[in-house]
Amino acid sequence: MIRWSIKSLFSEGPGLIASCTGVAFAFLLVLFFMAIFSGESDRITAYPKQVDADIWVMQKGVANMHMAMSQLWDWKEDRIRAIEGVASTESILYLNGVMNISGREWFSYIVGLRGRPEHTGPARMHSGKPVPARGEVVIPDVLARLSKLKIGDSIQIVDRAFRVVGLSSGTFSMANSIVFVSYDDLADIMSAQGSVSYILVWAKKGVDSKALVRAINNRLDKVNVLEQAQFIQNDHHLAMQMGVEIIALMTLIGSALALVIIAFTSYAIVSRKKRDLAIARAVGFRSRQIYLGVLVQALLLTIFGFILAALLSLLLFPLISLLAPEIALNLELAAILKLAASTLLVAVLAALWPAHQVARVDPVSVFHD
Amino acid sequence: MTETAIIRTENLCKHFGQGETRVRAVDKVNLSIFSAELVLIMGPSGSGKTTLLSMLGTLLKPSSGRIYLNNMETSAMGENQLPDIRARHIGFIFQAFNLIDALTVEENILLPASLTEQGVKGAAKRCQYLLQRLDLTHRRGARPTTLSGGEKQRVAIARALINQPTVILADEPTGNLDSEKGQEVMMILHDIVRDEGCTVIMVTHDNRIEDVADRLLWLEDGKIHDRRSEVHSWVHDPVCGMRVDEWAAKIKTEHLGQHYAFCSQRCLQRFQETPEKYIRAEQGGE
Repeated sequence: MIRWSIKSLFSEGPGLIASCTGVAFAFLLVLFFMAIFSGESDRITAYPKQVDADIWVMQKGVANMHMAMSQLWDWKEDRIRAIEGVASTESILYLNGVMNISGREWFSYIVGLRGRPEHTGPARMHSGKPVPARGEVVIPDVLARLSKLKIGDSIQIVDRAFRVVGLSSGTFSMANSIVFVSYDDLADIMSAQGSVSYILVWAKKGVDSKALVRAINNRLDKVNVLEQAQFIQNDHHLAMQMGVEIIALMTLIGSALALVIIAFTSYAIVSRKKRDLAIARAVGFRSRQIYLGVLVQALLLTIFGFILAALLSLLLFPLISLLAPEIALNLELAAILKLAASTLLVAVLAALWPAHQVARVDPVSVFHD
Repeated sequence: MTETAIIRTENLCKHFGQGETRVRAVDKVNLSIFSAELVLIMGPSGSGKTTLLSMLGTLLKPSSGRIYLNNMETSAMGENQLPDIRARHIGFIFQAFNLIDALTVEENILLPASLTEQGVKGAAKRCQYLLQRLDLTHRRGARPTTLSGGEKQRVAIARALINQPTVILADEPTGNLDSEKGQEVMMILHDIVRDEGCTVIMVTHDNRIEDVADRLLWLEDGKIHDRRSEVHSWVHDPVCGMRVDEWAAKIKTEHLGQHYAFCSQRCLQRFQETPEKYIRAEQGGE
């Protein structure tokens, strides 16, 4: 029956192509949403990754950056710098705020730079200068392109105007972009002179970060001290958690769509091939063997659809990123494998509907002309 | 020593419907068919021939009575045992050929082989032999849709023979073939009985093939009787023109001193409404 399954499936010709394409697009939809959430989550954590500090110190009760608010007295940075094992420190002021560009509002991470911002400023520049002075701002190049801005133009951040002096790369996300202003400007906006949001700590070579975390915790009150990896993981986890229901819903919708297409195709094949199935039963095949044949068809259809979806994603996703850099797509192998596993369930479920027909095939019907 | 029957039925009955609409398709049929016999089952349309064949082939459960195949009571077996019986002991040949279009000639022939221990690989030699014997070697890779009617039926015969069954059940195997091809198929079946020692039970309307049969069973109104020694007296039903055996016909009438035999009550009724119309037509035809 396996040979029959494969051959009768392939004999469907255009019907098979149409079904495979339908299944592929359903899975492609799921992969797209998985990729976009993964990509966005990556971009959300882009800033802490590029800063690459060993330790992040923040207000007690705060454990991440995304949509968080942290405030520390700036003298705490001096205290930390004095701790044995600390190589250097930097601090930033940080605000989740809204930029108004040509009437459109963009949610942004606004980072106020101070001191020597080699580490805390933009890691890569597209053009212009990386460190803004008072009244100046560095914005993402993608945001500038989308908003048709160029160096020298003005934008509004919260309640004041800033002149664009630099365009940074790798700092744009649909959820939030990272813009850099001077510490003094942001402190004015926040009325937070003498405060910082995060203190970034680099350990001396050979010093254990965990030991340094304990040391900072012992020395300072009302702070939360985290290693870089934990800090990034917290942000990533929060971002994914915010999207997890949407991802689950889209996966469900995409899978349900694929399931309906596969089930309908299998059902149509079984309906058309009822006589074949009656012949098979007459010559001695058992119902479960025939059902296995139908299941193989559903599995093949699912696998073909999935492979097509994976190939299309490999082709289309880089193209989308090229044509629309504002869309962050990151397709992880783990996500593909997870979806592949769930497609097997889709195939089995899809084969249940035609199985009902298989059970009802009357072998006596082979005698009717 | 008494020869043991390959197929034996005892008071075999099959009823359809209930109450006033109840139809006795097969009514207390007792028959014994022996090894290497070619038996024809004939009778008017709707007489229960296919129902009987379906029950002998374990595709249909009898309402009552017993069926024995190789001394195994198939009528008492459950649905889990019957597919094995069909795969190992019975070969089917159908009027509509019933080949699977998605498979090649060779794959169609080998289809039932996958159900036995020997499997498709083990049956390859037998398949080769059957292809050769039935003159299909050159068509082994062809699809059924590209075959002629005669070729299709030869493929169906090869498929029925692949597992070397005890009995072949054939339902109108010449029904969709012209006389030449029908004769060819009949001769093949005749040779199979002779060479393979296989029993063939064939339902047919085709009187031309009576001569090659060992025995002819007549089924009418669900009852069966052996017609081997009976004398045929063929006349035409004056209404529909169908050939009926005047000797065996149950539906008869007399009109103006002439005897007429009919294939069905319906034809008799029509005749009785306007006999002169049919007599004139018959005379005109002559």
